[in-house]
Amino acid sequence: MRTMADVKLENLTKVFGKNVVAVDNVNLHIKDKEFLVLLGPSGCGKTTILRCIAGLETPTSGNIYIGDRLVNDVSEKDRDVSMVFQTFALWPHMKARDNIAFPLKMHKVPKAEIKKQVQKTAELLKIPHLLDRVPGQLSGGEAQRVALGRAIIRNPKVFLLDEPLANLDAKLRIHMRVELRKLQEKLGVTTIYVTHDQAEAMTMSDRIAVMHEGKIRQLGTSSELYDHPADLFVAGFIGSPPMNFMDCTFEEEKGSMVSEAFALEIPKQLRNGIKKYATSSELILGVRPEDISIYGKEMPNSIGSEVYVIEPLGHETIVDLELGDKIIKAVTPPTHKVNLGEKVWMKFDMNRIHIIDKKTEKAIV
Amino acid sequence: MFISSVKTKEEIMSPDIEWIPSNPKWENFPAAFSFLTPPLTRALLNSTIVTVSHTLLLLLGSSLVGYVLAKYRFRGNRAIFLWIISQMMIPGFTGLIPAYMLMKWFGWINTYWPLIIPGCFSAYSIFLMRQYIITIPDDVIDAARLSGCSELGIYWRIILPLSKPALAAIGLINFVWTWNDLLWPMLMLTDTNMKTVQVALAGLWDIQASLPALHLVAACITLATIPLIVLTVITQKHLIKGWTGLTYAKR
Repeated sequence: MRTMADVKLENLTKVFGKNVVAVDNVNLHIKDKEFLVLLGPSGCGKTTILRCIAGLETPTSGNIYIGDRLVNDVSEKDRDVSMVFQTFALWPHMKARDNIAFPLKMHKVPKAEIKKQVQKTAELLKIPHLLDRVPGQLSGGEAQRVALGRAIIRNPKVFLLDEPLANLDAKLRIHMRVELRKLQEKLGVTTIYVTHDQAEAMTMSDRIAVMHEGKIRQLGTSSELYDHPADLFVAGFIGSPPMNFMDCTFEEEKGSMVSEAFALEIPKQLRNGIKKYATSSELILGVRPEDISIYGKEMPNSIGSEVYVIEPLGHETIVDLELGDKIIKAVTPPTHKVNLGEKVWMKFDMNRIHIIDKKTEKAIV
Repeated sequence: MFISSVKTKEEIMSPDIEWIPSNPKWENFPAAFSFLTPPLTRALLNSTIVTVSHTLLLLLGSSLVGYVLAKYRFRGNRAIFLWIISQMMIPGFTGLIPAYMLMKWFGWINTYWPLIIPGCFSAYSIFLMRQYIITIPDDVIDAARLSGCSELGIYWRIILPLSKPALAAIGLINFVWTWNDLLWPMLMLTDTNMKTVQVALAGLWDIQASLPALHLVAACITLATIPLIVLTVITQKHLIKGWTGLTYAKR
């Protein structure tokens, strides 16, 4: 019987040297069997958290629980976690078979049992034909599977993945995304997955923790993060092309967001929100490129601008619009034809705009 | 040297140099064995015992120290490393007399120990091993650690096999050095039967004994060189890798 394997981080802090704070007072509860992604730009502390859970780093302060056990003082071998590294970290002098068998060998599993387990794992990963090759003879995708095999063979409580797809080519990466997720569901192992790739995070996760400068900025499902980003960083980090931001001031009597380039009337509900939560009238208006429609003539509550660059992608076209000294990106269907330098009007989907307090950088509504 | 070793004494001294002896005297070689004191077989045995055990211990010692210096973070790591490599700046001869006194104090004079033990932690080898091991990715070591491997297990199962090119290069260089070393063994070994090949060969400087048998001198020297030639041929591949830059090859 498998025991519960949730992971709890309590006020986890890791300081390197004297004052490089890699992880800053992080609290996080990863549920049993959950697929949680730590997402953030490089240097945000996500890998450090993973290494702390694995036991490869010692936290400066705070507690780590696996199941109900406090593991701060438990050595990495006895934590019952396994990890897949970005570089795969296979041992080049051992055949794939021996790489996969190594964790069992170290745990003194009888030889016959090891053989059986290796075969079973290889079949699960569809690599029985590769077992007698050394890592130098494997392609990136094959090496990745061997690395996965080594990690899952011991049936760990927690499965830690550190950017496992980063070293694969684009096509394989999309394929492995699905396979990894399937594998995790099949095995039912609590999984913590580190990546800087938001597409990976959005497609694979049960929940995502967005990290920045050692802190968790927001924890939620992909759609929560996408539709309701908690602050300026998350709003800008999630989504591709990224959200457009415009500095403006709120003018209460007109009920409008005003800047040098435009004045935009906003719905009553948003106005009330701003009045209630904003620390000042200095705000940032955020709108996703797909929530902008472009018209050839002036529409009510639209903003006039000029087409600056057209980026056709085939299934959609990104139109860069000049607004004052800013470029606003809008996504349009490929059937919508615009010309360079053309005067157009853009209209935002008012139910989907984001308003962020400029001073606190927190989202208001 | 080889040509001289299959000639007669007269042919060697003759002003007409015969490059390819028409009548090679292969019997010089068996004769050479007993010509040397101690007999060449005994000297070769002495040299082999000393060189092989010294080289193996040196590889073990320098890779272990090199690994710790390369991959463990602890206070004083850098200081220890600098202290070790600073030893390379001190010429070996300056320590000769203190080293002799130390060996005497240990009661090791006239044993193999002084030739085997003191050089096992050579600064040069430690330095080379550290520089090599530092290029092995940390992930490879961490992966072993998470698999439940002990620290010594990581050294034995991961670091040593991955360091093969470095071990081969360093091992071979030291093998040749130890095999060819003369001064130190000469000081340490006074008993005739303990003498290594080089010390025994040095005995041939005794002109009165050697001059009448130059062909045998040449044969002795030829035979003494053979083990090194064989070894070089066997390890050539690693040796070239060792000279052309020691870094860990990826995957």
